[in-house]
Amino acid sequence: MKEKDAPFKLCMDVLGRLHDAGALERIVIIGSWCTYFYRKCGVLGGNIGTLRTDDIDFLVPRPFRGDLHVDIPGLVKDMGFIVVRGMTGAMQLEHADMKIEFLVPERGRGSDAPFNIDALGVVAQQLRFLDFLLEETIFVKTGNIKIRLPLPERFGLHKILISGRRHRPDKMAKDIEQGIDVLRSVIAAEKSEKVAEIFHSLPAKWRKAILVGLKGTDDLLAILSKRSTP
Amino acid sequence: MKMRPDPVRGVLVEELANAESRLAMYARELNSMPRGSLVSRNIRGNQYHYVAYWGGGKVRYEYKGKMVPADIRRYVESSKMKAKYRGLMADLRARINFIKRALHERKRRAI
Repeated sequence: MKEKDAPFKLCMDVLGRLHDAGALERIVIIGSWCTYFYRKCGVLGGNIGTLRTDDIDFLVPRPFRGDLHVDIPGLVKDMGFIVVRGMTGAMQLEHADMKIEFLVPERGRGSDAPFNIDALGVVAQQLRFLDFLLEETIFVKTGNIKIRLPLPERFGLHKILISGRRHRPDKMAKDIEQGIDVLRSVIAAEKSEKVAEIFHSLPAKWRKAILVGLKGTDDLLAILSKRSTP
Repeated sequence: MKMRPDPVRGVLVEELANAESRLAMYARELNSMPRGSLVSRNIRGNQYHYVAYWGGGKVRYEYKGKMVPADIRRYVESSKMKAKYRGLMADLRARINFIKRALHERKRRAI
């Protein structure tokens, strides 16, 4: 039982501290914890896979505006988190039960350089396609905490979009599986028009990558082939 | 025949690598912290501080003389963190064994 509960409790403790410091509403939870919160908070029903690693990824809008000043590493230090630097120089907060990473959208020609966010006391990693998730977000409440998640339609499409860039086949399979599960749950909630609308607003190259990722899922391909009426 | 990638196995392999690297990380962190724990003794109304540590099969005391409150606080906090890290390391060892067993079982069933 302890094995199963430890990461969840720790995740809620971390979110609670960020919430109390006023930082949580400004950042977006992405990664595999999203599907957990979609289901827990009643955003999506059905069979969403909850297979996930214990890592929690925070997406920080760029530029990060406002007068917030929080030292996130200091905030969670007594919980057993240790600051380590990833290969790119970005900061990771490592704990026995989880790793916290901070991500920002990569812009322009792209860069591997870590990105300082002084207002949060962290150094984030720059990654492609994250602006797509930031464009539409939702707030959900879990306990007394309000958390910000990407719109499920975008989260599902994003998972499929990035799956093609994965080098490891198991990671690619996990992304596709998660993306398909989320998209099917969204469609079951009668939001297929929104999925099609977002899909058709994407650049042709992105659309092609998504269609490749969804190969073999005729139900989803049929939805995406529909053009929304203006 | 090419086997389909197993996402569950992938997650387990990733978690095993994470757990092993985190165990090493806590071990490094413990090594970088001050050795032993602070012991205060009141002798004829004066406070004397010693650092107690295990060495050569017995508890040894190293006299620290008069210490400023900031140093005392540093030792107390470091003792708390060391206890925390040791507990987390015990959890990690248990998890590594659990994942190894799970991976072995998945491999056995796949054959």
